[in-house]
Formats: sequence, structure tokens, C-alpha cells
Amino acid sequence: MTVVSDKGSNFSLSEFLISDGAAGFILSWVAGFVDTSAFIILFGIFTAHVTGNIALAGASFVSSDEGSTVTRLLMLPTFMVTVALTSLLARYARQKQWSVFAVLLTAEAIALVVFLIIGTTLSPALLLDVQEEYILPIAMAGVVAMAIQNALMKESHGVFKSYIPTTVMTGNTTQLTIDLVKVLSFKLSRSPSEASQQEAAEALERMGRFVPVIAGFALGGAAAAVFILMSETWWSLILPLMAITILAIAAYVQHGRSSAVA
Amino acid sequence: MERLFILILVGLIAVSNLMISSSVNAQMLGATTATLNSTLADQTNSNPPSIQQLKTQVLPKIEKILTSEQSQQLEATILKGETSLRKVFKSITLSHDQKFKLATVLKSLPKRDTLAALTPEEKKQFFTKKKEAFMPTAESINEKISASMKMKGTTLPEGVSAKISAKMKNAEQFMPTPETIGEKINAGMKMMQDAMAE
Repeated sequence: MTVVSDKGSNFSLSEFLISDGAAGFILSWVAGFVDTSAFIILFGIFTAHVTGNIALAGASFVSSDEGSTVTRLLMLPTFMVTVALTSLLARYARQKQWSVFAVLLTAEAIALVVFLIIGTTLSPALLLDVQEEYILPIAMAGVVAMAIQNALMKESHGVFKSYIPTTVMTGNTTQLTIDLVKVLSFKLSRSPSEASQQEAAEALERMGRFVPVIAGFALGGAAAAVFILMSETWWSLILPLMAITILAIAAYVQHGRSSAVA
Repeated sequence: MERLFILILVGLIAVSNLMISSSVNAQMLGATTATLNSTLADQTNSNPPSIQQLKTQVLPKIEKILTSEQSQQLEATILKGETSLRKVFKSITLSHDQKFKLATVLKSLPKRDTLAALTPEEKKQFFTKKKEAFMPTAESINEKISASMKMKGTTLPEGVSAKISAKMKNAEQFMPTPETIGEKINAGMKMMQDAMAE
């Protein structure tokens, strides 16, 4: 973690927001919300867990649904092109000595605004899963926003202690389970070695970073399901947009502070 | 530079909020939808088509795509109070071919969310085949008569309301249901076919 608070210093909200736990929780909450709401409204399409669309495309292909197959497959090049552009933006920001994390969060906020506009405009007319003319533009806008978030996690060197994906939870859940086994093995061992003690301590520390991310994703998904159950309109997307905007402002404030100190 | 970015970010969000609020009622940009017929097309730029117009011009096209069982199921789901058309269409288990045909009908509507924008009551009126949906009730007739009498400075004579209600009840008893109409048509057709065969 780059931002380390001095013991005894006053609490800083911006510093707290961009810390590993809080930022990881917010970002995964956003991904969980966007992924779940898009999956429900777009009749089964992943915007955050993009590679999941390969399986869905396969299923559509088997049921001879060409339109749906093409839509799902198009998510991959959309994702890759956005990641490439985000990476270029990150390089430019780094060159200019701007806060890469803040700049990429700004890009994600803008992408979420576009997603919100396209989603709320087109989704009321989306009544059947064959209406690809509505599904494709909405899904592409969602994938762009989530691709920026994926690239952001990789490009924001130094912000997070280690890379933890916030858009796909399979790897995180695997790591959490392995760490849980390590800690339990140590606790239940009758004569634990020094190495296993060290291993358990590391696992416990990692769990502290993985748990907020997994919890955030689950809560984001649950929130999206509740909002869509209440109303099928997509105005609820304003919530992830607000979360990312707050995080971006916190990142700018924190960067400004650290620049002033330097 | 960071302050500039914050300003740009806040500005973009404010502008987007304005765009979103106006886009709710706005027409879809660049939408190229073929209109069902000239009547509906004329209304794109003026008033939205009435339920009666939609019912006479769009519903038959939907019913042509659905089987009679699906039509009945759709009507039953709507009458149960389901307001989400997505859930209504999902409940009738459509084939791919039916979905594509329905999507074409939906595409041809003057506004892409014409059906989705209907109120729950309008949806009921649109999808229900029974005449009662459009037939005035005894209460509504009484109300209208009372209102017009009030305007003229007189009141509705006693017993008239009760008579109207009784007459309406009698009329309902003799009103044929869609099933009986269908049976009668089928019987007539069969008689004609038998006569032709002889």
C-alpha cells in the first residue's frame, strides 16, 4: 500500500477510501452490481466476467441462435480494445506524473455515465432475448466500463499491496479457501513448525484483503437484484457511478496531498 | 492538474444527468423503425396511439404469432396483475421463431417502448379480449348521468340507479363469452362444410 497513515495522525477520509480494503470493497461492489444487473436485464450476458460470455456463446450456438452468439462473442474484442486504450491512457498519465489510479477511475466514471444513458434509454424496449439491436449496444457500454476497471487494477501500480481482481471472484474464492486451510491447519496442528506459523500469518493477512473484495462483489450483486426486483428500470446504475466518482475524487485529493508533501 | 480533472469529472456528471433526464421522454436517436400502418405512423410526431388503436392494429398481429393457448395464458397472466411485459412474455414459453416475429412487431411500433410504457390498467385493456374491459359499468353510467343532471341543475330521480344496475346485470347474463362465440362460429363452419360436402 502506498498510502500509509502515520500513527496518531488525524483520520483522513480520502486516505481511508483508497486504502486496500475500502477501495477493493467499493470496486468489487461496483463490478458485482454492474455484472448482476446487466446479466438480468440483458437476458444473460456478462459485462464484468467477460470470458464467461464464451460459454454463453457456445450455448447460444448450440441452440442455433446466431444473433445471440455473435453478440456474446463481440464482448471479447470490445473488452480487449478497451483494455488496450486504458493501458495507453495509463502510460500517458504516468508520463505526465498524474495519479494513474485517479485518471483511470475518471475514465471508468465516464464509461459508467455512457452505460447509464444507453441502458436507461434502450432497456425499456427490451422485452425479448432476441432483440439484439438493444442488447448489443447496452452490453458493449457495460463491458467498456468493466474493462477499464480490469485494466485499472493492473495499471495502478503501488496503490494496492498486490493485484486482487475485483471483477471475477473465482480466483479470489480459491485463494481464500486455500488460505483458510492454511490457517486452520496451523491452528489444529499439535506441533506447528515455525514455517507453518509464518505461512498462517501470511495467509491471515491475505484473507484480510480478499474478504472485503469477495464480500463487496456479493453485496453488489445482491443490491442489483433487489433494485431490479423493485423496478426494471436501470436508474439504479447511478449508485455504482456515484461510488466510482467518490473514489476518483478521493484519489485526486490524496494524490494532491502526497504531491504537496513531496 | 488534479483539480482540473475533478472539475472535468464533476462537469461531465452534471451534463450527463441533464442529458439523461431529457432523454427519458426523447425519441431514440437514429431509430429506423418501420411503422405498422399509416395511422400509427402519423401519431409518431403527434399523440401516442390510443389503447383502442393499439388493440385493433397491434394485438391481432401478436395473436397471429401466438397459439390460442399462449394467448389465453398471456391474458390470464396480465389479469393476475403482472405488470412486467418481460415476465409476461417469459411466462408463455415462446419458440425462437415466435420471439423473432414478436420482435419484428415490437420494432414496428411508433415508439420503441410503446407497450412497455403502458400503465398496468392500459396493459390489461390492451391484452384482454373480453368486452367488459371497454364496456361501461352501471356505476360509471350512473356517475355520468348524475354529472350531466347536476350541470342542468336537477338530480337523478330515485330508483333510476337501481334500474340501470338491474338492466346491466341482465345484459351481462346474455353477453356471449369469447368461448361461446368461438363455439358458435365453429358449429356454423361445420354446418356449411357438411352442406357443401352433400
